[in-house]
Amino acid sequence: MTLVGRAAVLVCAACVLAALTAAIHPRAPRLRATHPAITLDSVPANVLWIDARPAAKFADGCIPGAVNVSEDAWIDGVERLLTVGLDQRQLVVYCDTRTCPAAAEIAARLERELGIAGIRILDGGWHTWSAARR
Amino acid sequence: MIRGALLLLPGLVFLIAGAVKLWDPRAFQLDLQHHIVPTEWLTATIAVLLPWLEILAAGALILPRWRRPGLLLMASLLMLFIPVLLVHIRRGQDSCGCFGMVTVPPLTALIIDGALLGLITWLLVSQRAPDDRSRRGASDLAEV
Repeated sequence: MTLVGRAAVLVCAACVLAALTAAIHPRAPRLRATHPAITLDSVPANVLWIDARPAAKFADGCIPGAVNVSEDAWIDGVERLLTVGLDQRQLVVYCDTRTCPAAAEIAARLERELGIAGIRILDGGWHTWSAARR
Repeated sequence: MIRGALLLLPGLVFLIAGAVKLWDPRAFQLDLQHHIVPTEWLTATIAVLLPWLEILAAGALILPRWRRPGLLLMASLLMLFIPVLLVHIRRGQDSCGCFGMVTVPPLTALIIDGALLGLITWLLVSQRAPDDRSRRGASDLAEV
């Protein structure tokens, strides 16, 4: 078999393993559309910030006016969110960084369990916001 | 001996990069969504395929017959990564996403990738395929 042929075999093997990973990995990527990112510059005035980080991190510092809704205190977070009110507000969820999965998970759960549509995720998360305020 | 040590370097880098991404493909997908590819199915495909390409390319270095295909695959991947890293640098992004959640500045990653591509190209050019070696060995014997 030629050099390129063997390299192609490696690629095919990777494709098979990738398909298996997509099927059984507990943190397999999502194939359907999730929530698009929004940059700090393009956040609208009617934004309602959702902080998806754990309560301890939220207490250390957060975007002013943000509501803490995290996986480890979901019910409390939802109650806080409903108290604040959602009328005509653009929900933007953030976590620590651009790679942290919490924001996407909270956005998906809010959409699934509360039926809130149009949720966006802050590109860069808390790190980007705090860096921009320095 | 030296060649073996030089093979170890790209092997380890690719193995670690692949394993870290494979640990949490969803986080890697989010990283791709935010900065490189806009469509969901494409980010999902890359998020599960790229780690395995990196791991298999690294694993292939263990087997002599598969060493050159592994190096070729690594070189091809690096040639894809370098333009992406240039885009990262141009946009002023803080991390390349090459090692999952671990922050590596794109310029650092570009230097590493450039050095690896040089090393791999040299290894590919300088290393004869086992088939070539056996053919040459046979012709040497014939001459004797």
